[in-house]
Amino acid sequence: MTDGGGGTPRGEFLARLGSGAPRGADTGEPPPTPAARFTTSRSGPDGFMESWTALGGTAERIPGEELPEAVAAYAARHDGPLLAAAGLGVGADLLWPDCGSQAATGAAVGVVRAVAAAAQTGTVFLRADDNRGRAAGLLPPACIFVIEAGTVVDTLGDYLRSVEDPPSQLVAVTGPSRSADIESTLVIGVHGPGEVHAILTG
Amino acid sequence: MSTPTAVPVPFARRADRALADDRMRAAVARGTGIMVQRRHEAIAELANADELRDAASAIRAATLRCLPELLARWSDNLSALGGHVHWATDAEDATAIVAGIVRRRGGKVIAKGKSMISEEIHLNEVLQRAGAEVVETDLGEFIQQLAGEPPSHIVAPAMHKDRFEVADLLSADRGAPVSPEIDDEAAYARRRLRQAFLDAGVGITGVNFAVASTGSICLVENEGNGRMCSSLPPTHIALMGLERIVADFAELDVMLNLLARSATGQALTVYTNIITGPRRSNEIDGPEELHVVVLDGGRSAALGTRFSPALHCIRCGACLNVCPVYRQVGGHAYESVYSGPIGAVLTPLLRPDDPAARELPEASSLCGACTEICPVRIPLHDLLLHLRHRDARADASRLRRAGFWLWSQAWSRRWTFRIMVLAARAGLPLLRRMRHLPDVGWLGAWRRGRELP
Ligand code: SF4
Repeated sequence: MTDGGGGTPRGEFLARLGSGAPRGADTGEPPPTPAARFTTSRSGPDGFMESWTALGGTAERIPGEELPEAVAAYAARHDGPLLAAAGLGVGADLLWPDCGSQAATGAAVGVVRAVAAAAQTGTVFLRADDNRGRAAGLLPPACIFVIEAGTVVDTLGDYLRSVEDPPSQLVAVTGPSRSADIESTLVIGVHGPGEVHAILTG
Repeated sequence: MSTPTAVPVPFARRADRALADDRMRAAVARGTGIMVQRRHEAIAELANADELRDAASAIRAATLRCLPELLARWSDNLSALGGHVHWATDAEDATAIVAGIVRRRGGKVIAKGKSMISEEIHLNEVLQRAGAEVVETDLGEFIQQLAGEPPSHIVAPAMHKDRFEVADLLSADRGAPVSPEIDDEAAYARRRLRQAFLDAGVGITGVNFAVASTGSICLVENEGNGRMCSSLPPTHIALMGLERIVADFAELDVMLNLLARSATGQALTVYTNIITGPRRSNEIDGPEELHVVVLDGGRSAALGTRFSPALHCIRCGACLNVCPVYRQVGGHAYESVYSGPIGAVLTPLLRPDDPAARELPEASSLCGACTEICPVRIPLHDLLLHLRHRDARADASRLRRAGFWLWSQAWSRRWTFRIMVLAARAGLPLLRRMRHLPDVGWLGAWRRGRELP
């Protein structure tokens, strides 16, 4: 589409970039895509918790039915409302998206359900579909990620290679928001949540 | 920084000016030293780093051989999901596309994440002239915007500043003092920029990789500002170079395992955002419109030539951090969006008619440290040599000496020496890793004959 200015037709643009041969047409096979291997091996929920806490996150593992209490207990240690998308199955003071983003940004804690996690790097995978949305895991200064213990895989690649139909946003979160833009010195919690808590269930 | 003038200042003069700026040089020496150290530690955590680097190099080469097919497949997939793909031949094309979207979608405030392409096309100036308020939201870019300077490093835009200079800039912005404590500075930026995310009608970001098989774009970042820019405003515009594409998630995985390790020494950046179209009808939030602008900007002319490996670059910045010239003169002396070894290669390819750009391949000592560290194995110093041969001109010999001249100048300066010794004492085993420095002058003798304290 055009918005009233600029732009080159696709065909013209692509014609400058060589033949339209598909991947592997010249060599007969696509390039190799080896999985990353690590010098230390961390796997399963324990491995994930080790990586996650090394990044500066906190973590706990509880039976699934105790989730509402665990969320409430964490929220009680923070001063301000708890934000969650509707239908998460935990109590919340602000329901996303009905509360609006101005109110959501005033929440002290957000809680969101993750679809998987990777043990080696301490990574949590968030999908924006299935009523999870994007804001509850992003706007508040502290966030809880709820992870079913059975969904923990070893690596980013293990998860990515299993994704077939990604939603409009899929985020791999590896630790608290940080920056080293001033004097290469680490600061935690710049725009995203600086306090991140993983609750593994089951 | 030096501002562009009608009569271009030769690189050697700009470098000389930079060498006189002890404060900047101390900041750059510190920043690059830390980044190199972290990079080595992070790469060492991979049991198959060499295998991954070989694969990444092969993937990038294979990508360039079939760009039309990959880009067509990617854009078909993204369009089917309601995303809009725009093709821009040059900067003028690209800025006109973005300005058109901004005009139609309204919103006076534009929240912007880090994008080297936006620097390449001077997007902010164009949008500001059209009356928009453009807010850089990456902490380093925000500092640079307040300073009225371009970024000096592709990963750490404000690396050349110390926290006292940052505090002055933030205090001027606030109209009240911000303390020169880094935590306080970051906290101020968080508060200051949060409202911009909420007010913005348009979010603009870069793209690290596009994924052909799904129509996705992938954006990596640490602060969360990229996630904000791509989640909160009703319109998201992403800017990418035409070479920035992989076939599928398996290839993306290879790249992601190398990018953050090479750039900042993290296993992965805090946020790896994979965006596949605008908000869907069954989703509860996200932008209504997603536009991706694909820029040629001189890249297609390098395809199929011996210089095409320059387009393999994944913008990790590692070659800047190890480059003895960059480490001495910082990024601004290059007067290009892309500095350091990759900048010295890429700039003359992207700006073939600019004499100042053609001079940049001289800004190298050809020590090879860049080639050694590049995660996708771009033969940077070979490319620099080829560019020198290509552009050999009558006065070239004078410039050719500039790299070595810089060396001797830099190393004979008292401050350089003191900083290096201080860094070494602080436990940064920089010098131990500098085995690729050329054995020239007294430095070579000094290095050969010296055990670190
Ligand atoms: S040329 Fe290589 S080392 Fe330099 S920024 Fe690009 S990928 Fe990184």
